[in-house]
Amino acid sequence: MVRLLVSRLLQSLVALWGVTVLIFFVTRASGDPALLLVPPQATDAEVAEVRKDLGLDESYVVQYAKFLEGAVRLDFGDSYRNRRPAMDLVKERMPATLQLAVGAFVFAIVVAVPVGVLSAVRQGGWFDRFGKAVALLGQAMPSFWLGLLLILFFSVRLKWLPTGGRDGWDSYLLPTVTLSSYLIAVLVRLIRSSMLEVLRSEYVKFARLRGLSEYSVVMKHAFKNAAIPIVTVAALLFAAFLTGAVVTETVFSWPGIGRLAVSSILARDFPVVQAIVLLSATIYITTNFLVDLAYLWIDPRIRFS
Amino acid sequence: MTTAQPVMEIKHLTKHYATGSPWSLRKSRTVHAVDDVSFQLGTGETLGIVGESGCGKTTVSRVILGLVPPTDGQILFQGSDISRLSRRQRHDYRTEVQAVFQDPYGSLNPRMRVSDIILEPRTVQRRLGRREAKQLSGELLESVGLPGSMGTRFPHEFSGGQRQRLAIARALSVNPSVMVLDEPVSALDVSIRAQVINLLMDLQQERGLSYLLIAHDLAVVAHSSHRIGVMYLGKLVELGPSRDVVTHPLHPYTQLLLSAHPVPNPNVRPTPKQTNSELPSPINPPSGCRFRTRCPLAADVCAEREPEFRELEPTHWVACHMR
Amino acid sequence: MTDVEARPNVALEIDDLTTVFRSRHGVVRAVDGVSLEVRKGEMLGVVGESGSGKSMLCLSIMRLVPGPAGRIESGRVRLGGVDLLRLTEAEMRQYRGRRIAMILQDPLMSLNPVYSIGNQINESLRIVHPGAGAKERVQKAIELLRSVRIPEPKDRLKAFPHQLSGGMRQRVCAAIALSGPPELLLADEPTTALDVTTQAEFLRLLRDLRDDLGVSIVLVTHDLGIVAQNCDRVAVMYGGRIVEEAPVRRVYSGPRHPYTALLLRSVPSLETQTLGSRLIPVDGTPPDLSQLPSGCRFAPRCPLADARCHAEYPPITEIESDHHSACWKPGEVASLLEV
Repeated sequence: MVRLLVSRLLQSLVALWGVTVLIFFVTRASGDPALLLVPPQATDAEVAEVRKDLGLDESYVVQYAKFLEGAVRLDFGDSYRNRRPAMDLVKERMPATLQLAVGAFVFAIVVAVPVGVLSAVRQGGWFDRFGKAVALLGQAMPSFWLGLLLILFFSVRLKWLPTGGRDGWDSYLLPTVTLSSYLIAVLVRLIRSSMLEVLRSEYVKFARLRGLSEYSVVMKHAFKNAAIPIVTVAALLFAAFLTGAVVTETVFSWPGIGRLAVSSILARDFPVVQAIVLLSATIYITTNFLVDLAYLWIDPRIRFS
Repeated sequence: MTTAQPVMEIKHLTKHYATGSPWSLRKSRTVHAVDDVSFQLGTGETLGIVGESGCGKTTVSRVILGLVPPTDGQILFQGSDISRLSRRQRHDYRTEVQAVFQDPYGSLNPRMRVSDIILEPRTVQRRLGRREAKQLSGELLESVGLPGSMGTRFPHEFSGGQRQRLAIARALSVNPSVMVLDEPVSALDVSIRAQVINLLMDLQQERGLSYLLIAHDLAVVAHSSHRIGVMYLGKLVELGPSRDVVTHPLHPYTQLLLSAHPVPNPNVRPTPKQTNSELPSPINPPSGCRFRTRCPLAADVCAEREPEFRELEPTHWVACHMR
Repeated sequence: MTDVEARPNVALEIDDLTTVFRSRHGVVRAVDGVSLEVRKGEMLGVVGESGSGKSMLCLSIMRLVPGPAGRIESGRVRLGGVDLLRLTEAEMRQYRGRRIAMILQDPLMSLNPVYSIGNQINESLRIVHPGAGAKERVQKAIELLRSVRIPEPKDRLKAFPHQLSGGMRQRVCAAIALSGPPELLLADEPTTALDVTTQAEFLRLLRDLRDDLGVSIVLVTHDLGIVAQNCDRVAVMYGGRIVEEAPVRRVYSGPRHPYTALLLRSVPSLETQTLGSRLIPVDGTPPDLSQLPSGCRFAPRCPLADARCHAEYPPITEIESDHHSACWKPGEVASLLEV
């Protein structure tokens, strides 16, 4: 088991290094940022000056070494646009994104688990039909559309909640619901089908034959097994929330990473883009590692193999 | 039955599997699925291989069918080593040696018509005209005891026993000389098994087929085979004419299998013998004789040396120190 | 709830039980008017092929017919004078695992892979002995594992199902089933997935449970050899009905239903005089429950069948003392065995 963990950890580090290489060269391949920073009528000498300032005049190998060394210290250099450390910009945006992501994730779990489980237990009944409708709607409706509808109804018509921004507890409600809708739909569908499969298993049959209560059969014996295939999906979607929910943030003018990422890409602000991409990659890789840990905890077949 | 010239000769067949992925840091371990197994299959003979799960009988059949390469040893088909065949010859080998598997539900494509299914091995060789195909499928269906007109139907319209007949017809379509029958009746209802066993025996008589019959049911094997080989944990421990093996088994494991077999006769009481039924791991098989951990006769020598497989009585071979 | 005085030597009395399934081809009677008694301390073999209704009979007794497609339509299932079919679900749960237990065919799948053996035994013990403390339950769990002859029972409590062999897992299932201990144990093909030597040992365990603890056992199987060597009486099922019921020795020496006779004759045996000879098969195919013939269900495959057999279903009757058969011509069955 320790071996398994160590090997996973090493794999994660290799993957992370691969990401740094990729980020570095892909951003370099997309055009010269110096041209964006100088006025259109600037002379070649002026452009060269700017390139020198930014360290773009050195060889790629040197640039990459510098980049990697900085990345280890979480230093990606200054933003080209507003001349502040890129990481500071990202850090400023982090709390907003984190709050939204955690909120939406918790909300999704709280809604999707009971709906998915009950749909499976009452297969074919009216609740199941409700669950399937939730799953279909949530996956079919684009989040910008859902967000706009919610704003129209709760903010414009009822004037209960603000249309956007991030101040006061009530500004969290609509973005959270919007962001979680897709995850709810995915989870309801997955939990339902996974539960249905497990409920047909021999060990569930045997649990009933032993005289266990229906609650214990469903929640203890069925749910833990049904959760195994769901953990991965839930965790990766959570990671996606953390690295920016671009559409939701845009619709609700939410000051998060997603919007920062978009504006930085459009401005070819390499240091910020690199910081965000590396941060995203780290979050994904960490999440994957945590998923592996979760499997070790849930599934003894992996723990002892 | 057995002629001087065996159709197939298995020499020192060994198959080891490595466990664990090449990426993991764990040291990979070796599963000794089959270890140094040798036997011959005579022309027109049925050789039954029995043994419990993990004994390697299915691995033997997979190697013979060319589904997995052997780790060591040779398989001679009509005298030539199948690992040294040209591409052309290998293709011929694959048609000469056909297989029928346990599960008549999984092995037939549900979306294909029965005539297409049973002619599939044939059409791989050469495309058939519509008329020719119809006639051939009719003949094949009749040869396995089904109405020749059933070719236009789909597999789900057939019962388990009929599906196994279809699987047999498919194997026969290329006129093989050897058939590997891997648990051909164990998934079938009891009242259907005799029908399929009789069919297989009739086909052997008519066509001079050689069968390698792999099964866990000793009665099925003893009844339909000329000779029986008993495997335990990757080793062939006994080999001899069916009657001899059943009436005076030489290896203690064969004796255990026979005593455990439930006899449909209430006057024969089950033997109350207590044995350790836990199978040792094939990753780390016991030293010397692999059966010694469960053997009532085991002595010191059994742990020290591997017993030699020898012909204790004419045509009756056994690997046991205590004999 | 006690509607009839319980008969002293009868553990379970099944009366005219019918269980139906809705399917694409209409309503299928998986168990069709079955009457059967299990006597105290006996091992009753229930023999049948797939679709004969033998597993569904057990699930009906446990009242766990998989819904919503399946349901028990009518009948009585009396345990100690109480009709189980009239209990509420909550009341029925007091019987499951305590007074009647059931083990299933596939020991590899019967135990939950994510909980330890100890956890799963403990869970059953908590229901069966609600007053017992945690320490007492661990002690009891070790005793149970020992009673099914699992070596080093204390260490096994921490093991997970995948760490045990198939035979060991089936013993754990038996240990759980015995936690009551139950008056009645239903064993649905308990050894079909096991190797023959493991099977022999598990069957010996069942015989000992019967002989030492007096547990009444219903052993469902398709293997006539298993029944012959382990059971006291046997009920043969075909197409959802019982066609023959009698003490084992009687059935094997003089079957009174053609299906039993032909089945016995068709099984390959290790008897040396018949080795290599041609088997005598039962012709035809097992019945399709959605298209049952109007008369005797076995008539299409029966060499004795005449017009009456095809038209009218023969009721199960006591042909001689303690020997029941559902055949119009029980006297002619013996002729089928003369080859």
